[in-house]
Amino acid sequence: MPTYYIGRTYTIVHTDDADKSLPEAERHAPLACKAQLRRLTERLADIGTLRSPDQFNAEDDGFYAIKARCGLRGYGWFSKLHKGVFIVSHYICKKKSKLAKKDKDRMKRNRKILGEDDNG
Amino acid sequence: MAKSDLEKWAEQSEEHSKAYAQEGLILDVTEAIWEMMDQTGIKKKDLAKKLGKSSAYITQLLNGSRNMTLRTLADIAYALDVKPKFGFVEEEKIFSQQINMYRYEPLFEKPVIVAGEEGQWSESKHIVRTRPILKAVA
Repeated sequence: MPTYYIGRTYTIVHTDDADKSLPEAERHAPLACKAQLRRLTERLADIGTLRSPDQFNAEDDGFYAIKARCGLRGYGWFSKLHKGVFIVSHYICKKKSKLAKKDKDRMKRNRKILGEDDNG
Repeated sequence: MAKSDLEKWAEQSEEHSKAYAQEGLILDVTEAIWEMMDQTGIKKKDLAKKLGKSSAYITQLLNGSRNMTLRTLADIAYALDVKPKFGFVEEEKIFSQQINMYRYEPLFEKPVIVAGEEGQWSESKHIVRTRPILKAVA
């Protein structure tokens, strides 16, 4: 499981799913949008938060979405087991703002694999 | 020091570096506006009203999908009753050095959790890059 970026406040870690889904999610995304997603991630890691609710928002069950303007987004959670770590579950590209059930289930699955769920 | 995947992406080509720099500036400005809005309790719709624009317009400005002119930035600052501060700094200076009246903060080490193979986590020291912080030299 790769460490994606080490910031001043958080370390961003990718699940295997995040690593695999990023190129697929970005396939049709403009370069500026890819850069924006990375800047949002970098700032989250360095500053510790993102103030724009349009670009970083809390979903159900302790999950968060990092959202670029073109619909590109990364879903993840703050690790319960490792202080100062934000784990990106997976990336997708979609227009609808609301968290889809399949994405929530996918995050739950990835969280369980890492033993980060309540039963872990 | 090994570069992270994120850094490698940003430095992969001139085109990537430029896009990364552009998005960095946009995010610095928009997050600063959000911070002022939080501090003053001004919501997006309030700001839209003060500027005589729609909420959708403000959303587009703040997520970077609409270019913000300096004039618009000045109008936003005026609406928030603040004055923007602007300056140039060199990108990512590695070591502390004196430039005119200013110096850059040095890098520092911090212990971080590093993920390895599945289920393998370890703690190591990592040199953290800092953004150049301008400080007056006494």
